[in-house]
Amino acid sequence: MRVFLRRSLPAALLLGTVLTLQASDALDETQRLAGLCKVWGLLKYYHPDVATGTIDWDEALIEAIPRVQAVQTRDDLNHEFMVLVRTAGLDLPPGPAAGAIFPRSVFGWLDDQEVFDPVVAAYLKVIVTGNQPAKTNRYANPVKNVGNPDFNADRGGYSLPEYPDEAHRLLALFRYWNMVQYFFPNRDIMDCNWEEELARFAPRFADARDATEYHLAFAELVAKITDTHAGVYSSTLWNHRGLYTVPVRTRFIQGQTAITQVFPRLLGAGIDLRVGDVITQIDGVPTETVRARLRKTTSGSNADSLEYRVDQYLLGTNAASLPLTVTRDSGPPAMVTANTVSWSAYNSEVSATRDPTVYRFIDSDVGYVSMGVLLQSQVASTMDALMSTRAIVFDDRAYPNNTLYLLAQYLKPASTPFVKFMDPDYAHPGSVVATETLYSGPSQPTSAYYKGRVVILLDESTISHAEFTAMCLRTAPDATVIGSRTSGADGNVSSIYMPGGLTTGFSGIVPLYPDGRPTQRVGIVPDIEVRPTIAGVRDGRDEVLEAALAFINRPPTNGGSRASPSTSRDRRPDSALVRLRDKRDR
Amino acid sequence: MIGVLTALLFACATSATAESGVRVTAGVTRSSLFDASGWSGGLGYRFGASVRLPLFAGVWFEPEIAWARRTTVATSAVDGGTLKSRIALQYLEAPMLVKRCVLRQRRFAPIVLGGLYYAANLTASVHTEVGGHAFDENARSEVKRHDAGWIAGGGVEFQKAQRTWTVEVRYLAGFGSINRMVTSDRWRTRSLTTTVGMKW
Repeated sequence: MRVFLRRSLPAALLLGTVLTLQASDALDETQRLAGLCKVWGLLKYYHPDVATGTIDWDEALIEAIPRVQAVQTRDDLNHEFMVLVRTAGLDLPPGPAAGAIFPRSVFGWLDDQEVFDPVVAAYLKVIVTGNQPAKTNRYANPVKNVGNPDFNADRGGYSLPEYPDEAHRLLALFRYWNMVQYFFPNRDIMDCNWEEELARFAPRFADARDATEYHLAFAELVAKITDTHAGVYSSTLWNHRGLYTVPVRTRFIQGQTAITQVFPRLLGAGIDLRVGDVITQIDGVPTETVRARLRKTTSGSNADSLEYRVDQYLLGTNAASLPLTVTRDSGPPAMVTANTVSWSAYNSEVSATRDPTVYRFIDSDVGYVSMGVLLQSQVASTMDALMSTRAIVFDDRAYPNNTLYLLAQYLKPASTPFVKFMDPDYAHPGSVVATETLYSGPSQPTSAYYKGRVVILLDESTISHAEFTAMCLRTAPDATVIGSRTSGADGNVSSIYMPGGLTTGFSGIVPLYPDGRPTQRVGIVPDIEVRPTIAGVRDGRDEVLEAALAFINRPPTNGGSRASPSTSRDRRPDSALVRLRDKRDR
Repeated sequence: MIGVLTALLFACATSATAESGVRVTAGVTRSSLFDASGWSGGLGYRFGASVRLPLFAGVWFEPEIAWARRTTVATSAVDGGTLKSRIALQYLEAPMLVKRCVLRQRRFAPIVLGGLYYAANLTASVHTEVGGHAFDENARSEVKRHDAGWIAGGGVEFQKAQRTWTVEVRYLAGFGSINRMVTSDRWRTRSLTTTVGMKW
């Protein structure tokens, strides 16, 4: 026995040591896949041979995934990373290129020695710093005259069945993760840790059991970038969200879901749903529970715009009717089984019932302009009619029709900056670069501008171009913004295509105020905050407009008098300038 | 196949004429394997054996079997020093050469040679180092098992110590890519070899 121990103990100790070493060297599949995603993305955007598109880089990943899933040790994993490097191309730059930068915030992961061998990390760093990435990359190019990334060529697998194989599901995750990592200019203001999300979602994508799980995982991932522009669409998701809806419009007011518009023609007789009713249950499920579920898969730049987006899907169903529990005037809950209609019928009715009035007078000397209706061709006649008013209310709680530059010709005495941009830096993917500042107003200073008060109304439905318009209009000399925080999603949208028929997008450029203050996520913050109440909605009041009129009727704080109303005929806009500027933020 | 070839060579040698014989060679090679910037030829070595099978006066067929190691290297400046990478491929190589002695009566008789080769890959490895760290890889899965190409070169043959010695310089170039991956790079064998051979 003693002999046996003497002989076998060292062997056992040695074996134990080896096993311990192997265990400490072992990486789980999530770590391995996350590492592959990062290396693949780095090469995709920094390796010149990949940028040219001569290699099918998606295919290179599809081939690498099973190999990476099979390896166990860090060395074997790093060997697979180097295989990918050699697949990209063997060109090795002699050293850092002139003007090369190494954005550590983007490549901090290379320092993770649990996953990346320092030699492999150094090799990858050579690729980042040694190559000056081509300004034109097959997979991401700046949209001409705008600068947001054009990902249209990067849509491999889009036409695959809605439940693609595991490798293509991971391709979707890796493609999207890297697009955000290198080209989402608002990456640094996301709430989440983007690297942690990669590790969290890798098993979700790999293990998705059907199309719905895969598409929902993708929607949940997209929600992490907190950008209201980032809707996710697919036929699977439409089916999941419901192909029909109750013909009412809801809004999250005072922490409750209130009906703000009813479409009687679609709702039919006998269905007792009214404006101001609060929906407390949907198909027997508390409304808050439904909202919480939808929030997980819906992207919103801020809390208000997230709820706005949630309302768009809230009453979706595949059933011909939907039981709702509603309360009215703090009365007892009542069950109403509402019929449902297709989304196309719903949207047609929304359009058909929209007030087509371009402008009107309130109190004879206050003008009101519906920015969602006003067309460029109607700006001159509208402003001519309203120039003699003491105030104009521009209702920007709708999507305008690119009228901002024309309006600024009437509202401002001179051309002044109203926005500047940060774009993705295509020479250093992962970084952003300041580009241009835009001006609005007459190029030649004039005294014949509108001297009355300019009031801009907005709320969480004010998104993108509407926010851009508000930024422009508020540079008028006596402008006041009233309402509530806007969507916080400005900047041209870059469309994104994923395997299995998924599409999404994100805000591809960053508009800032000329003094550098941000607008993304923050939104346009009103000078006077006013939010609707359920009681006000029930009574058919527009409390934001009421607040605007109250403000207008207050005497000016500076005590100055308005100049005489001016005419507009001598200040036609510079149409060429307008055309150039129109390319931004449309 | 290599074994059959080797047996054939030595069988031939036993039936050769007076000029026939077995030759052993050793040499150094400088190889360039890739059409890629940043990489340059690395030094390797080669050991072989051949049989001389005369065809007619001053011209002979010389099949050979050799073990060759080819390397190619790259360096790049990086934080903390220099990154060095070396790719090394080992082959069992079987050139089929025709050689001609141009001026047979001279003490140092010039030789021209040409022919084809077949090579079977034995190993492929990558060694990368930077800042005192090294990373070694087995890259055999990235390299095709078989390679073929042409050889051209020249040398001299001379007598010394009752042996026939040769010094040759050969250029060897593969016909096709030896890369198995879906890369756009073309990996092609190009090797300049200097060998010293002794026949008896």
